[in-house]
Amino acid sequence: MSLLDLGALYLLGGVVCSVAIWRRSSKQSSTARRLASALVALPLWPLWAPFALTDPDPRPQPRRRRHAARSKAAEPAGGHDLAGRIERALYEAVEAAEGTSFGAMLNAEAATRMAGEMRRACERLVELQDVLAQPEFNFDRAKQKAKMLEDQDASTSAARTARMHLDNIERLMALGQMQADALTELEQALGALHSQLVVARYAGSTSEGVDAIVSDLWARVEGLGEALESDVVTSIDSAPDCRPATPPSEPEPTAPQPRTPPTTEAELQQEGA
Amino acid sequence: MSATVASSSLVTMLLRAPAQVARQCRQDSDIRVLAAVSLAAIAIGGAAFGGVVGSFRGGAQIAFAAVKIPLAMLLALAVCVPSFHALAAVLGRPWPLRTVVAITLSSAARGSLALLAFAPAVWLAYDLGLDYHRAALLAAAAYGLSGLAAFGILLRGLGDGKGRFATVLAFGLVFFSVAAQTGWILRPYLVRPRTKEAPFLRAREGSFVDAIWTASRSSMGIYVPRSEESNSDLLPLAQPIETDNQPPIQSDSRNQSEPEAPRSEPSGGREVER
Repeated sequence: MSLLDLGALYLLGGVVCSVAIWRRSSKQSSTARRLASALVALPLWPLWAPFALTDPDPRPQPRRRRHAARSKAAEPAGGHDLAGRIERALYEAVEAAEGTSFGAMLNAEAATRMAGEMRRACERLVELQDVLAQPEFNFDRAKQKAKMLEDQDASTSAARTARMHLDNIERLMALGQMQADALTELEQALGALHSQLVVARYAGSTSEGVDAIVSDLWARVEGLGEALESDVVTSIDSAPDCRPATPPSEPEPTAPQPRTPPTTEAELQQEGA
Repeated sequence: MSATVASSSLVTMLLRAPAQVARQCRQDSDIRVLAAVSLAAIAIGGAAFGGVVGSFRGGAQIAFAAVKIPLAMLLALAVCVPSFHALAAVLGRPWPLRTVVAITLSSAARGSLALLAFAPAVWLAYDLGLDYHRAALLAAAAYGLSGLAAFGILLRGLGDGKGRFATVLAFGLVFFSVAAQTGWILRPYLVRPRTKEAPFLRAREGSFVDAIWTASRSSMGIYVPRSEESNSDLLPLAQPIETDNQPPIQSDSRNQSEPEAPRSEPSGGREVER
């Protein structure tokens, strides 16, 4: 079989895929979009067909969009799903503001900045979820271990360490939940902004409502990172001292005591001195 | 406009957050847009770099190389992805085809964006009067570095776990063999300025492996005289194979010691170009 024969077979595959993509793509999406997708598949069908033939239309119609939003709201908040949904909601809002007097309030630059912040927040959430998915961060297991050590009358130090580990897992879970809640609220705010923009566009209402939501949105976006960071600092500052208890009256310890790195500011200063 | 914003943020992500791209591919989150942006990045990055490589000769070669470099990359990927899918499945990663394609495309897109970044530097070097061999080496070095950038996503995309090294090795072997042959079929990219007419494609002269074999023999001083050879595949890589107004040059070393002709001076010789 010559190179020409192979090329002809390859192109035949491309034609079949193009026709399938053209027929499968929603008739409600623009002809240019359908045509572009079909044409890209003609020479590059092994690379494009897996997406064009197995993906729903990336720009669903309003009714489908609402349905999708309702069904997705019931899903657990995975970082990536959430990131995708929030970004979609943001760009829908930007699209709604486009060509109106609100376009300056929610322009491309602002959207890019917001998207960046949101993405970072989602990344943090995913990282937290990844950490918590590790076996050593399993809450039930850590709880069981702490309880077992306490029941078995294990040394105070071992029990304390297990208890501290459990507390840390709880704190991480709380942080993750907080971040997920903040992102979900942000998604809802974006939805509200989108609907407000649509109302303003068709009913010609003033920019007051939109203005308030955009300000609220910015506050939420800026608060995403700060909330987590401040909580982490507070958590570290208020972390319980896990050093083994040594009686203060003990004159000279016979063996060197195990030591943990300083965690609080006071300890750090003491260390420096 | 929102599509433009989304695309630019994806390009930024490809360059600055390979781990996130890899995760997005594995979790099948919005990968259709990622694939579309990656295809565009491969086309644009490759075309820009190809244009710069073609500018060594100038004229039609700029357009030829600008078309052929992204074409070679896309064809190689199109041929390779089904085998990547099979290899990944065999080596412990039974992922859907679209996930494997997304990882492959985004890796290649990152490499192409790196090529785009190298293009101005390569152009400057060519403009400062780099000779043919150094120009070829520089282009190859840029390609190699862009390949390292692409590996950033591929490695992360395959994730931790058993068989990661074997999968990377298998992907690399398949891709380099296919890409080398595709590139060989679509050559020349870098043409000497004195070449009278730059062809879009060279006549078939064996395979890439034949060329490597011939070049390695000629580097050891083993040449096949023209009179003894039965086909032109046995010629050393850099030896002129036909000339209009010069006698054929038999030795590679002689060809290399020949002073580089001024870029504007046509000599009429057609040499094996890279």
